[in-house]
Amino acid sequence: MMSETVLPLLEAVSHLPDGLLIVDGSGHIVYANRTAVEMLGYAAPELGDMPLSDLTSCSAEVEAVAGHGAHGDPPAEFSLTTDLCCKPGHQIRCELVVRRFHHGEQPHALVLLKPVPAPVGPLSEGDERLLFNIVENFPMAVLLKDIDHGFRYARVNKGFESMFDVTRDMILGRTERDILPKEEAEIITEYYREIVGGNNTLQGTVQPLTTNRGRRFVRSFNNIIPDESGGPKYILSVLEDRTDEVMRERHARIQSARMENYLRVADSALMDINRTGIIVTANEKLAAACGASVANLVGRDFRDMPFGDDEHRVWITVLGAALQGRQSEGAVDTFEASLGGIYFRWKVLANEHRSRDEIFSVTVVGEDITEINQRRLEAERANRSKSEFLANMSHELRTPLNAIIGYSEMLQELAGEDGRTEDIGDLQRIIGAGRHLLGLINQILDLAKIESGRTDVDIEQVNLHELLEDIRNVGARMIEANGNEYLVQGRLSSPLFTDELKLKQVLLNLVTNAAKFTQNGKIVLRYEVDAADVRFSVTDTGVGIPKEAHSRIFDAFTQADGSTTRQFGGTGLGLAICRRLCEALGGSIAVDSAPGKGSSFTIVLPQGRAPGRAAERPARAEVGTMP
Amino acid sequence: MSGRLLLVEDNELNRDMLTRRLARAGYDIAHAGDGEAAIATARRLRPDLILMDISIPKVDGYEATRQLKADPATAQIPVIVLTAHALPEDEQTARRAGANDFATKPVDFNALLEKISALLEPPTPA
Repeated sequence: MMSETVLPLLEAVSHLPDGLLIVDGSGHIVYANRTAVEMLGYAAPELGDMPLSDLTSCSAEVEAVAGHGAHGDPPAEFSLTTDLCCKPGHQIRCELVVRRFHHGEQPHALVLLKPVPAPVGPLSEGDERLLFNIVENFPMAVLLKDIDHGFRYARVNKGFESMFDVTRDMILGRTERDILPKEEAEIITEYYREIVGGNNTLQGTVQPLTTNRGRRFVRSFNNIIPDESGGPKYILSVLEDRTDEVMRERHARIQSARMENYLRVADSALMDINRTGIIVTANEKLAAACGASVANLVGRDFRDMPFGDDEHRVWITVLGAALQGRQSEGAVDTFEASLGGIYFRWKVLANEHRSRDEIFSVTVVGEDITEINQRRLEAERANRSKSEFLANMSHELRTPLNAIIGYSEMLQELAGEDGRTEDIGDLQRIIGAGRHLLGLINQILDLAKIESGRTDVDIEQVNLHELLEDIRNVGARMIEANGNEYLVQGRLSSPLFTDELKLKQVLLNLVTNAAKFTQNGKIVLRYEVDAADVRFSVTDTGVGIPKEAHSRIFDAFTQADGSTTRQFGGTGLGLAICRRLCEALGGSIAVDSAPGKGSSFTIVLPQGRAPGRAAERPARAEVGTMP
Repeated sequence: MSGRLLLVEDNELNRDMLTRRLARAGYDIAHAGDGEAAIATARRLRPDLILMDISIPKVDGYEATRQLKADPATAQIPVIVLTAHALPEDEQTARRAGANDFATKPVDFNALLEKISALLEPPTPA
């Protein structure tokens, strides 16, 4: 009768974790479950009807349980450990649990097969030597500690000797205390105690050790080796030297901490962007400019930063070039642009820049020049308003002066036509005063233009002889008026390069000055022009200037003394303009004079350069490259 | 000397002085006191030459000059800018606006007369 529960039961029996055999009274196997079949290595049909005596020497005891033994009253149940002969010709050691049961009237034996681990057989001499060599030459320190004898070293290998720079003679039978400082030794001993007591993991942490070879960082992997009764006998320890890794990590940590400090306290805004333009590092100053936290900024695209109006393009251009490796090796690009309302001068450098493919990141450093820029803008504004004021003043003064001179000239004509000769002289004085006032206005404008740096220096090759002829012609009237003799002498051994108009203005001023202050005397203009230097002097035999006035005469509105203007006229601006013009040309002017001995003014100019031009500064939002 | 000049000038004294001196030199003088009047008068009267002040009401002298030079009806009339704006860049601006010549105030009257006659009587080919 097969109830519905029988088939699943058979299936379960077939998969029992232990092998199961059923043996009949004649000692033949009548059933073997799948576990037994696999364990024994025979095919299932081979086992059917196989006498148990083929498998084990203990078959008689099993047969007895099944009822046909020679023994009088066999036990219903027993177990024994024996070797079973398996199909491939080797043996497995099993515990057999045997129990009698009846199938119908026939007694049978049910046999459970439980494999037991075979004890390791004695090693051959060759095996032992191999094992010794393996441990001895293992590329890490290996040691064995005797647990029962105060964790003394029982064995160590060559790796251990080399790690601690000791020989095994020195330490076998001793402990850590003999090779390490006390505190380190105690930590290690305590750890060994804990793993023996099951209170710590078998894999140790990295431990600093002071060895004969200096400070090493060591990690241990441990296991407990039992004695024959299974109790802990030895600790087997394998030590790995992690010193290099620890030092590398420590170095990296120090570098990183140092870098963070630099970033945190820097007055400059700093960031690193990766090849795709993502900000990978940023500092507080940059974050503050962006109105974000550092954490918030990192991971964002630099293109999303709050650039100033119209400055997006310069950012994309400069940083794009660096990201694409278009910067020349070692170059630092600079540009000025605002960020979040702060005005910065930025420097951009590519890191790891050996070829296009190796750009690791681009570093951007911004110096806050808001104040400098503010001052610059204010200076520009002040200069502009000064220029505008001067232009307006000039215009406003000229308009009435036009009427004064115009009417006076007209009246002078009419007086001449009507024969009113007594008026002509007075009208001439009005006209003269008007022209003097006009001269003043022109010179003040000149001076102001030079001082505000708005004078462009225009270097060209000068036709000196033409220039000297012009001066003679223009100055002739004044020279002759005081009965003076005028001489020009000099040497031109190299072409003259300078600003012709400015040179002419200076020389004309010096010559007319000399003519004004000299009566019936001699005025000599000397020149010497070579490849390096340009030298002019104007010497007269006039009234001369006292030594104490020499330093003042080049200041605006100063003549040698207050009476000079009344006696000789002039604006007091001529020499001030001469000095400014000479300086604009990169040269200088000097005087040599004494009262009654005449005066000599000398100007020295460089050849053909324009050092007077203000040094150019980088334009706003304009790209420049520093080598 | 003869010819009809349009004097564009808003300063009363300068207008009076220049008018009298130019009249003594033989010219007929018409007046305009601002830029708009200058353009309207030039179109109406077709003067032989215009003396143009710069700082004048409504439309300044540069702009008036530009408009006159852009209008085929007046483009051929010579313009001398006569101004108290005496910087080199002022002359450049005037010439860019189309002025034929430039003179600063206080005016060198004889030089001005030469400029006028040079523009009124182009040198005849020899």
